[in-house]
Amino acid sequence: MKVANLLGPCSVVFAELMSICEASGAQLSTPSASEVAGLLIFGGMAANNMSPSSFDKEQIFGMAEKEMEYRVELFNKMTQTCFNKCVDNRYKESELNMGENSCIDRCVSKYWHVTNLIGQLLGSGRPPI
Amino acid sequence: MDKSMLADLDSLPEADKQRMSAMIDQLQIRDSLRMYNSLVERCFTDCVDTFKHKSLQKQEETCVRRCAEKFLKHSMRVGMRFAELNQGAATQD
Repeated sequence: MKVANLLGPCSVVFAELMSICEASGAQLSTPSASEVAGLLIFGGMAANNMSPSSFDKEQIFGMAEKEMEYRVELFNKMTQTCFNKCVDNRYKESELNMGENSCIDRCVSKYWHVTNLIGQLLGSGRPPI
Repeated sequence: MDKSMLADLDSLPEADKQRMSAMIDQLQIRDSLRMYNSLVERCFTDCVDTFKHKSLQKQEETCVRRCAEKFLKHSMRVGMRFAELNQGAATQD
């Protein structure tokens, strides 16, 4: 799997780094939940209070790296989880059959939704209890 | 390296572009090695469970081949869907 393929075109950090999102006409809206969750791992950095310009380049590169790592990790976890849930481990054939294929599609979609849901819960600021 | 991603990097100054590519390459290597290890672990666990012989038996080998092929196909499919979702998340709202 190519790491580059995992990266969103206009993710928060990349947008900061290259500001291509504005340039290409796509507005950079509020960060999606997954990105908020991604930001949570940046060691509690006060991302919201700081304007983009106050980040220096080193910080932005660091964030970009963390975001890439986060996405790769997310992809790997998703792949493993869905393989365990959907693919028969007796390996009667090397092709994925129709049932497995649709299971994989649904599994990925649901995993994504759960990621967003948990991201929203964690990002809402309310204490979890 | 994937061309479409590097196209996104075109707007960066040369030095930054190189730094980003280096970062991506490094991540790519680390991830490939990790994937290799986890695939070996998975296919070994699923396919090899008797130790009556020292060498890999015919059916064990077939199982390992299918396991690896199947996992790679699975990984490609997940990658495709993941990219779609990623794309969608960036363009919606």
